Amino acid sequence: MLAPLLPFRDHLPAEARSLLDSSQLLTPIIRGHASSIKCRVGLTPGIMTLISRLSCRRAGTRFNARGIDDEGNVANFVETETLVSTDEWVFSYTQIRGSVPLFWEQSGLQLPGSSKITITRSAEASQPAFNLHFSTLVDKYGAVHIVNLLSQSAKQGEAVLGQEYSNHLNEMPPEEHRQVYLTNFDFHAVTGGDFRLANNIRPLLMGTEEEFAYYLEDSTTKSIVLEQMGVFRTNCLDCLDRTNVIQGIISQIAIDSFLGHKDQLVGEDFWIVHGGLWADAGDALSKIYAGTGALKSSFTRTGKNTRDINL
Amino acid sequence: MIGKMSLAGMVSDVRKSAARLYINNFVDPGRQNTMDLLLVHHLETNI
Repeated sequence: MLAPLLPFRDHLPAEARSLLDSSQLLTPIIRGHASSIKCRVGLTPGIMTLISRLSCRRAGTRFNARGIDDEGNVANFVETETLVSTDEWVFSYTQIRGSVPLFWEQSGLQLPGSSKITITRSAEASQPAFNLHFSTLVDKYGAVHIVNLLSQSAKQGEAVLGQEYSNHLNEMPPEEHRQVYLTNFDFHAVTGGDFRLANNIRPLLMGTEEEFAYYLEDSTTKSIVLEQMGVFRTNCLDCLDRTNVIQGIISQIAIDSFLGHKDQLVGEDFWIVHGGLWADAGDALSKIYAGTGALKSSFTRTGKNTRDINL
Repeated sequence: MIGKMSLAGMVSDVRKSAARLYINNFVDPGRQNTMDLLLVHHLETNI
């Protein structure tokens, strides 16, 4: 319905385009979450912002929208950008999350602890959509580092998904495979209820983090100093609770490495603002997809421990 | 306090899990219909 309208708008002469825009016939809407809080970078006042945007492709709710479609779009696909800015510079770091890019579903009444996962298409039939998904990501973001937080123990139904995920990755055309890395991190097994152990993921991601760098702009001259060369693609089963904890940590590593390069120290209050923003974003995204705030958000918010409820 | 299990966080997670159980099983199918209708997915798939 809208698809032919957008190129039509883009090809209008500038004058006609601004007339069409001012008529507000086409109103862009974003689903997601954004918030901005004042913070202090050392002694300089700054602003920290978090923007999460949901994709409108394969949109839907937790048990009804899962996995990938034939166009290579995945469910619960969210791009989140952490921004820190002062009068002198703007720092930005982008991450993505999205459902496991395979054809799978969970149907019937869903009770906690019984994740009845069915993979609905054979490996050969799902490979094209899988490849398309990653070639789109590589075109848009550069290299992609997958952080898969699914349980790997055979007792959990979700282990099958993780296994198929890496099988599909190995079947990708070599020139694209080179641009995609995979880290498996069994969140539940590693943390075992003590979420501070989630920080054990840091050494696994440090190398890529350095390689991907971050976006940095000089505000005084409006010039780009550094660009982000790749993106972390985090997933768990719902891409809500576990994913949020890890994305918060990845964002922290990125900011840390930037501050390290600048020899800038920040106070505890800086990280409290950061944790608060991530917990709010996690809650908002979880409300959209699953109807309630995120689990584990009390950990994301404060860095303190809380008990794991296995969902 | 750091390292101790926060009771409030635990209770809040249980409450959310219970709410999800209800919402995901009984409310979401309707929400999904609305979203599909709004994003015109019905024309391609379900009718």
